[in-house]
Amino acid sequence: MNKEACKKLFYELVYPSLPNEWEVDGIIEEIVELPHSLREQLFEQIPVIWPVSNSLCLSFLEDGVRVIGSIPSDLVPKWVRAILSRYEQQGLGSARGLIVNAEESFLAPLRARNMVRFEDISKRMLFYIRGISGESVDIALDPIPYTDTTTFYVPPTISVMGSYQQNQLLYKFILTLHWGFHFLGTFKICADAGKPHSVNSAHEVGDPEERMVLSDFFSALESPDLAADLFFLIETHRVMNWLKEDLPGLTNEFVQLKSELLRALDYPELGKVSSKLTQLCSFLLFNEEQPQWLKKIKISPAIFLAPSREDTVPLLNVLYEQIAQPDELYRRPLLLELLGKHDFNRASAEIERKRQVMKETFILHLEALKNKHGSSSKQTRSTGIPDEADQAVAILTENTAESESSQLRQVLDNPETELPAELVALMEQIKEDLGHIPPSYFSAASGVSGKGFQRRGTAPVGSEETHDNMEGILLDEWDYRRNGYRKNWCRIYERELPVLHSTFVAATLDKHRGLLIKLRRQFEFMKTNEHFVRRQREGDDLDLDAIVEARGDQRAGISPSSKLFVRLQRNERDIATIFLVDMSNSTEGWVGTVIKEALVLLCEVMDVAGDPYGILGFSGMRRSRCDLYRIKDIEEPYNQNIHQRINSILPREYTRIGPALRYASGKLKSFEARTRLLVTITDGKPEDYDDYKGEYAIEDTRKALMEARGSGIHTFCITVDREAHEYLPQMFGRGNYIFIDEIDKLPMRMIDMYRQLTG
Amino acid sequence: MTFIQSSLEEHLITEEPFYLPVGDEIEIGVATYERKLPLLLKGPTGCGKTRFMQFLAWRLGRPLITVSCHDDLSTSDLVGRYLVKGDETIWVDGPLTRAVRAGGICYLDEIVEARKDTTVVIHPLADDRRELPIDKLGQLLIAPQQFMLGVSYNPGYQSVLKDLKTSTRQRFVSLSFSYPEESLEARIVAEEAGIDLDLARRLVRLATMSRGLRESGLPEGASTRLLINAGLLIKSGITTRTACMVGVVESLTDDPDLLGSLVEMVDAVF
Ligand SMILES: Nc1ncnc2c1ncn2[C@@H]1O[C@H](COP(=O)(O)OP(=O)(O)OP(=O)(O)O)[C@@H](O)[C@H]1O
Ligand SMILES: [Mg+2]
Repeated sequence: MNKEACKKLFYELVYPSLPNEWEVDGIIEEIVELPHSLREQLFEQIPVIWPVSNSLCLSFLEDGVRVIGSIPSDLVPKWVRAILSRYEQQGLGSARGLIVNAEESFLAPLRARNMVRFEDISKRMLFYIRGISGESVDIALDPIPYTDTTTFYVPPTISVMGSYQQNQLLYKFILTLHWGFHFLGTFKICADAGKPHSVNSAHEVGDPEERMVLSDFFSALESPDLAADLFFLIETHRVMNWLKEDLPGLTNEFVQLKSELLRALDYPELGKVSSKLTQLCSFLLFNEEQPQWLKKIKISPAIFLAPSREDTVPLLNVLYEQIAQPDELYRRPLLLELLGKHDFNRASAEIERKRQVMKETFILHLEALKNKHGSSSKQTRSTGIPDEADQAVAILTENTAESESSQLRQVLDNPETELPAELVALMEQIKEDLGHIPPSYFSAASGVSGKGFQRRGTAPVGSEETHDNMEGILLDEWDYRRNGYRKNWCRIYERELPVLHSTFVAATLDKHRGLLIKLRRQFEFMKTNEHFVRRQREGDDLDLDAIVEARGDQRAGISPSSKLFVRLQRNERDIATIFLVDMSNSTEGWVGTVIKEALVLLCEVMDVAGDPYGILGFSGMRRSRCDLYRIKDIEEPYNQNIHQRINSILPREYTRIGPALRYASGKLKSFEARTRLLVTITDGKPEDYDDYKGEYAIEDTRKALMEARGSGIHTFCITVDREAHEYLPQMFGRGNYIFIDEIDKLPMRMIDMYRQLTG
Repeated sequence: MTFIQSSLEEHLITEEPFYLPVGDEIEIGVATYERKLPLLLKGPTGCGKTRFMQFLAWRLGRPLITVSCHDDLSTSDLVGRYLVKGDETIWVDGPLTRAVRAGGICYLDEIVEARKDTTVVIHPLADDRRELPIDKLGQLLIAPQQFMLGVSYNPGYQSVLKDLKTSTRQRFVSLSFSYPEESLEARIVAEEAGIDLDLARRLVRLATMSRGLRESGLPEGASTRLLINAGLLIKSGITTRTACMVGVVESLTDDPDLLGSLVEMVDAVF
């Protein structure tokens, strides 16, 4: 291949981008020199890397030229994946390191057989910890393990132990340990510096200002690091006691690592303090012999063996006094380095955040309840005027006084009241966390205290861009605060996408050729889901049951049925679907690319199934311009035009889901079909430039979905997101959504979902 | 479709089935019966719906006739048909008719699986008319006081094509079943599989974990039934780990990552 041909190929691959020739020329020159197969290997990765980052792709080519020969061809995709995820986590510089030093940073670790890279076991571990905890927790990487109670941080690799299995077990143990901290309330322990031997139980959550946070308590001591580690150690001991009961399998396996672990982490040069701590570790965590100096301590052995949460701080004080040496520099024992640390600031911030979410959700529920039970009947409502000030008034003029919050309490306490299951669960959670439901929660809901409720700022009045030459359609929007609609609030435009030429669709079809064959076959099967229908007036075969029955009837003097045949019948699938696709700017990059890929695959297989379907993209800015992009009309055949439009999908502006849902369900309603399905694909919270945010947006979305369901449309949502799961069930309703945290799985999961829903 | 008419006595449950109440479902069941109302049980698979029905039938002293619904089930399959025998024809009652005549309990399991045109035959039985027209006999049966209609379905992860018609759904008193809380479920598993309570508790712990994976792609976690199966295997001398693998884990999913994580859970719990 000559240089020109090579360059041409390159430009085709990155189309429609047009990188500068001077950027490309030098690179191409080197690539041309490569043997054919290596060049192909490099070029194959361009469509993978280019959409994520152009400059990464260029450096991949530039530096990859020299490295590609040393990487076994079957490892290339894995290498590229590693580069991409490094890029996403740590940026270009670090990702380049992985390209240039492929040998040390990619291949060598792969060869070290005992080393576990978290990446390789991440899914297994994620599902494991989610199962153990029963919560939608997450895992991320950090050299020293810790948790903020929602995300668990673990090191990227572990290789202390001699075998892969053992190192993998360490990951599992570390994750469980940190979950245990959260579960057993480590982060709610607080110390009172004035009275060092007493500790408030977490149930007395007073004013945070008055509480003594542990990190402050530690810093007041001479050696805060030592204190923090003693604390960590005692808490680890406490968690391990619990694990012995709850997960004995894990405990047994971990204890078997003891001697090797202690040997591997032994570090004789440590000072006196550190070695005392190491002895303490062996004693507390592995039941090793009790060191002599410890026997002198005046603390009951029972507490030593099984401290409760209240014992931790007193125990810490005693041990600290024993161990601390003012003149010696303290160094962390390696074992603790492996097991991790506590980050109280992050944990309490996260706990606080979750509390806030729970509180807001609770208040939302109460509001709904209040409206239902009529305690807001006196409220003056001026519906129909789409005016910002109006809502503020609606909130503030509500029936005041404490009487209402006590009324609310009564409603809740009354066993006769039927509470939504979600609210009951939520109340349980709050009580578990705080011991009771604080009065402020009630007063916030009754609208007296301004503190509890976050008030949304009013939309900035700027030049609102509209499409002058188009009329648009006006739709209402739900305002949960007034419990009513804002009339004709949003203006909807259905628009064409500006056409872009690109090879995206072709590349996708090519990339997934194998998968497509499989999927097509499945959908073919779905379509020809033929079955025999019995008791037909005509058909290919006799229905023996029917004949016997008819004969019986005849004998008995009843006129026999003439429906005596079986017929092979195609399953009548009278299902029409609209896929509503989020085109907001947050889908920029990887997410957007995969959504597009998913659409291509979907179209291919839907074409086989033969069910009518449409695709609408949505995005916009402010209520005055909610744009819906027609990608495929319900009955439009699948052809090049659709390819063009999918090619042209680009991240645009904001995510105002409500109007899009209403518009799409309107469309769907006007289509004649027995079953109608509305599938929304989005990457996160609904949000617009104006005050369409937070609860308001969630509640409007929820309402729009309820309206759709009310008119007999089945709704289903697919959300691609990495965090903030709390609002999902509230917004979509349990069982009506799936949550995909691994974007690569979107195409398969989406197609699977369609198959399951309509199978 | 051949019909072997079993005698009704066979359907009478003489020994008290083991059933641990989770809430006030027994009182509700009895009251529903006394008020001559039909009963709908909904809940995930293997959570005790069928067992509850058996218990209720025993408690009320009525025979229980169970029909598992499928999409080929016709009205005649429920109501009855003429058969030819030698030179004669004989009418054979379907299970529904038999239950009505005998004042028994007819339980239609997985009702959503039946075609909608079949389910409508229960409509007149399931409202205050409580009657069953048998067109071919020209009869209209009025259900006696003792007759009760029960149906069940699993509202979990389901096809939009299979939903219970509103007009069907709104005839029933609905009891919602879910897996009992851990200690209760452990007692059930221990009792049913004949294993000790501690082992049962661990099995339940495993199930609870698997139920936490719903949003990670496991539509339904391990049911009580699977736990009992695993328990029975252990009782027969299979090692705990293997029993959990073949009795629980492998029955839940084929996804390699989910499988992997479930194995980790098994290893952590036992
Ligand atoms: N409350 C309970 N008391 C006693 N046994 C129970 C209870 N709940 C469940 N079981 C046990 O669980 C097993 C499964 O229950 P059952 O067969 O009733 O499930 P189901 O809800 O009918 O499931 P499906 O929908 O799959 O038919 C029963 O065999 C029984 O041993
Ligand atoms: Mg059953």
